[in-house]
Amino acid sequence: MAQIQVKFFTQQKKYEVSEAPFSVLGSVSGSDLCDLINKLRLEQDDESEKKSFDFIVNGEFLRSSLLQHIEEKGLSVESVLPVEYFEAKESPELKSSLSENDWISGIQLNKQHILTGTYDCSVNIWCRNSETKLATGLAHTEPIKSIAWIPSFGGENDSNEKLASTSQDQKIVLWDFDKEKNSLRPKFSCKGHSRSVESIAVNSKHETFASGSWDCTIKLWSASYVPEKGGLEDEQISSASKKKRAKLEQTGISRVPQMTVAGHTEVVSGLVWIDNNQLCSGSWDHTLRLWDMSEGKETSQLRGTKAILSVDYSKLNQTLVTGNTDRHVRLWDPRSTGSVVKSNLTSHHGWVTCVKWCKTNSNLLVTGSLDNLVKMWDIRSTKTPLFDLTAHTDKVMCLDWHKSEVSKNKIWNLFSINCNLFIFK
Amino acid sequence: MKAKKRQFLEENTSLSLNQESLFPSKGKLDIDDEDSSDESVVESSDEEVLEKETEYFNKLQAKSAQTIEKPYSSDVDDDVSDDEDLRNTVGNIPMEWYENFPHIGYDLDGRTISKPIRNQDELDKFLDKMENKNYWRTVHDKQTGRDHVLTSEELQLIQRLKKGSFYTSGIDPHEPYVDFFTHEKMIHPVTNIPEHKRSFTPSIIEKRKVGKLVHAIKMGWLKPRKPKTDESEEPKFYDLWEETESKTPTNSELARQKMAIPAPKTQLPGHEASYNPPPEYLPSQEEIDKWKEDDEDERKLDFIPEKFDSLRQVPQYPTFIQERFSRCLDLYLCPRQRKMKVMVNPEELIPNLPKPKDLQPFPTFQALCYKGHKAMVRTISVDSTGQWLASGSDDGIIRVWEVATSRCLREITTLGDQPVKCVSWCPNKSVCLLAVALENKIVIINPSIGDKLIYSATDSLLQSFQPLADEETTNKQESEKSNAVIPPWKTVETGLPYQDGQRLVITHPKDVSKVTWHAKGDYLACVVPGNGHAQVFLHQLTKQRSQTPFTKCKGAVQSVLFHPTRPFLFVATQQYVRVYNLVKQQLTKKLMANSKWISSLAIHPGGDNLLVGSYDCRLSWFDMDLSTKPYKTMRYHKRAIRSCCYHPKYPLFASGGDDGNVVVSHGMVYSDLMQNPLIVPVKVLKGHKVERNLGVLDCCFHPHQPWIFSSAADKTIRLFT
Repeated sequence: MAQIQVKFFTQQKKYEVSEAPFSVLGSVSGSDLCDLINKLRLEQDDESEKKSFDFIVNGEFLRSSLLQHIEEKGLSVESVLPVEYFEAKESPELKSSLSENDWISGIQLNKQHILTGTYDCSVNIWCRNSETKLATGLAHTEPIKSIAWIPSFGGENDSNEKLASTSQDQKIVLWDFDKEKNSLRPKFSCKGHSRSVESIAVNSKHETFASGSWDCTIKLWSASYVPEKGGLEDEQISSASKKKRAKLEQTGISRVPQMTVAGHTEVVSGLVWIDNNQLCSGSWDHTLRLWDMSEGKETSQLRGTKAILSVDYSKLNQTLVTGNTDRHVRLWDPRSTGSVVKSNLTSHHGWVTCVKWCKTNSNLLVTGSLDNLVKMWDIRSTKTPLFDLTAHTDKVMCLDWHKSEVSKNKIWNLFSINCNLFIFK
Repeated sequence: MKAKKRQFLEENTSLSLNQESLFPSKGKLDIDDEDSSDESVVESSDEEVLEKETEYFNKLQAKSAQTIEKPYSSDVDDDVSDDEDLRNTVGNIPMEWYENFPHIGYDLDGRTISKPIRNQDELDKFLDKMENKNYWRTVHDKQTGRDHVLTSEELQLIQRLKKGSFYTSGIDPHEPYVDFFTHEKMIHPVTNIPEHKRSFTPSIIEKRKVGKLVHAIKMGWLKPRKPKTDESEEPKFYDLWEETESKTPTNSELARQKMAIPAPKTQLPGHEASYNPPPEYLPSQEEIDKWKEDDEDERKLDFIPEKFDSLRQVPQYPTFIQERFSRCLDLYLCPRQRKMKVMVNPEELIPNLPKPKDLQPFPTFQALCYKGHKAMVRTISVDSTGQWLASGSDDGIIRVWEVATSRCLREITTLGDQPVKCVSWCPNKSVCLLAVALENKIVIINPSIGDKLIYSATDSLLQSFQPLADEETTNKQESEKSNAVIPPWKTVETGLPYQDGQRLVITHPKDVSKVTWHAKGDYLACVVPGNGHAQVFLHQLTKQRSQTPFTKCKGAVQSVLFHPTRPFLFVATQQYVRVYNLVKQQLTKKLMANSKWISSLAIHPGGDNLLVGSYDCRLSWFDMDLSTKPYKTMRYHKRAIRSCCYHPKYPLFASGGDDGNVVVSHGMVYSDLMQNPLIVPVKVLKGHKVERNLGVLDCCFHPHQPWIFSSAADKTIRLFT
């Protein structure tokens, strides 16, 4: 058996060991190396605890034996091999579950609240700490398809929160949530799509948002809560009679789109803003398109072979991720064109319905699939995910997660189709 | 000279001896010919023997009449003639010829010999046999017609003849031989007379003879023999190749050459046959015992390997003869029949088809399962946008599902509890309508799903319909003419059924089994199975009227289908698919499905290819430009095929059957008319359970994606992607 020279290094200072090269057998696996590191740490410091570590060789997680890994990567066995290690993440545990009346189609977190949209046409707001339902908004006549917070610059101090929901009744409703009164009121009703509205994405400057629909178009709307002066919206308020005003209270003031872009030939199932002007859209017609929304033009196109169900973009590593109908999670570089896939994450057994990058770590992402599983991935390990979360007994439709660096605690909000919302910590 | 004399003497004596032995030997020969069974009876009583001998003697006499005539013949004859002085001169003729005459022949003087009076009857014969002591030695002489009592000499003679010994009694054939000349070499001459002088002088006669020869040679009259010529001694050469080129082999020779079968090869001796084999080849005692117990045919070796110190000690091979014999048997019992072998590589028989993975995309795994129906789902249909799926189950409930999430969005329950036979979305994108066949009705439903503008426009369109007076009259006239029942249309305007989406109800005389839309979404065709002529109905939605296109229907109609672009209607009966031109109102083609009972029909979006599924597990692909018989028949299902379908965009087709499987195949139709469609089976989709011997009941493709929906008797609908 071949002997391989390895050198260990880490970025976590507290787990550092000497950088002297070791000679190990080629057949060693990650757990063997973990034992070795723990022994080395004991030699340096008698009181150190045993920890489990993950190892990265040549930018990829070590999952098989060391020799196999080297052969797969085509590395030299002769030279000293640098091996990075860090503390392995512990699998999150199910903390609690919340129950909705119907299937949950959309979920989003902010600092204090959890926003959900359900198939019984309601938009719900839950408190993150107490896990109680604060408010329910009913303005749609058909099931909600997606929801989004519209952050305001006032931050937490603002007494009102803004949010948007899209539905199969072809409308997008902008809501106003009063934190003190816990009341949710529709402010604007955005009409323009001719089929059900499947996706929504709010611009990073929070001025506009885009929506994608089954009518194959993407429409750009204003996210402003101030009625447009001298326009239609102002007219509606001024010209409305008492009766009509009461109705407006219930449904919201009608709003028309700022811009419509067409190009897709199938439903626009995923939308994400890359920067303030550039929008990325994924569709069932197998393409990812990048749009310059200031001019309303398509800038480039990425062509896949399977329908895309969801899209997300990470600003940290400038990579797009898509969930596809063929069970794979694909990573794309938005700067490239054609059909170049950066890498494939393969482990799911069903449609990958939702994907979400970590906002603070450039390597982590979470995917949910129709095979009842939620998986957390490190993109350096493409074959096996870091964890499987198996609380679900039915299809995973949507998820959101938030990792706070301060407390080192992760909060995962995972949503299953059968009305349950699971919270992992 | 003396020697010659002696020899002559010897010859004479032997002659005389031969003469003596001539007659008995001849007689013996005759006896053997006549009756050889006598010899076998050896140990029997004297009397019996003698009786037989007398019989034999009678025969002998009859046979050897001629020998009796001869002068040197036996004494017996002389005795007879002497005794009686009576000689019959008729010769050796059958004496039966004289049966009818009073005489029996003629004596030497020419006088007739009269037959002796013999009026003995059987009783006299018996008494004679009993009383006459000489009866056993009495012989009847046919020539004279008298009885003759054999004397004891005659009896002895007969016995001697029977024994095969000499005629006369005194000769001993085995008497000791006395050499005339002694075999011992004598040292003294027999006579003591000295040689005569002239025996020493040359012979004058010889001298003269030699002189004549010498003279003849000298004169050249006599030539010496020619010596043998050298030509014969010269070696002869043959042209080896001459015959082969000039002579063509005959047919029989050719046949023999062809039939030549090489001798079966014998196995070469291995180490075990050595006189000093390596120890591992030597059998243990157990093996030897087993070898001895085994049947000869079962033995691996014909012999037991043995070890000898030297080759000299090896004994003779005991079964050498047997082995050679069996080898000869092998050679000559070798079967002379030629085996006709065709070397076929099984891989060559498989058609060269592209690999399924090169034919992506096609559905490969189950993505979603649409659960909710309480009874088996007989029929499904996807709307033209691909967002909604409608399904009808046996408990009379129609559900509309969201394709992407398997969420049931509408449930239409006001149709009753009879099985929904068929649902079908209107292919016209500007209206939102669903045609449902159940019981004897076709219900047009507006499920109010999708675009608000479209489904409200659909309602207003239906409400704005005003029946024209003329049409009603023409309708009536038509109905009177064709004697057919024109189904009445009824508009649903209020109440719960209206809220549930029901808009129009067309009632038929009998139960409706199938409903299908024309590609433009205005015409509906439906099948009303039964024996009558009105099995197919056509309905026009915009004018709200119906007609029965056929005055006569042959066979039970199974399914109907509109051509996607041209005015053709396909009508499938149990064994045939008839293609009617609706404009010219005539039959254009009759396709023979090669199956017993057609279950389903599907037409390629191009319109030139037709797929026919049948209950006897066959799926037939018709190329309608090619032939009226199937271009290809596929048998991928183990049980009846319930439904088949084409993908509207991708080159795919599929069939679902009672074995619970959906078989997806790649079916590429080329625009080049010379190229036949390429058909490759790519995937068997499993997942549905078989319940009550029913599996997949309906399948249809998603209009834009390479996905397939299938509904089954297990109350679920599944989506494979």
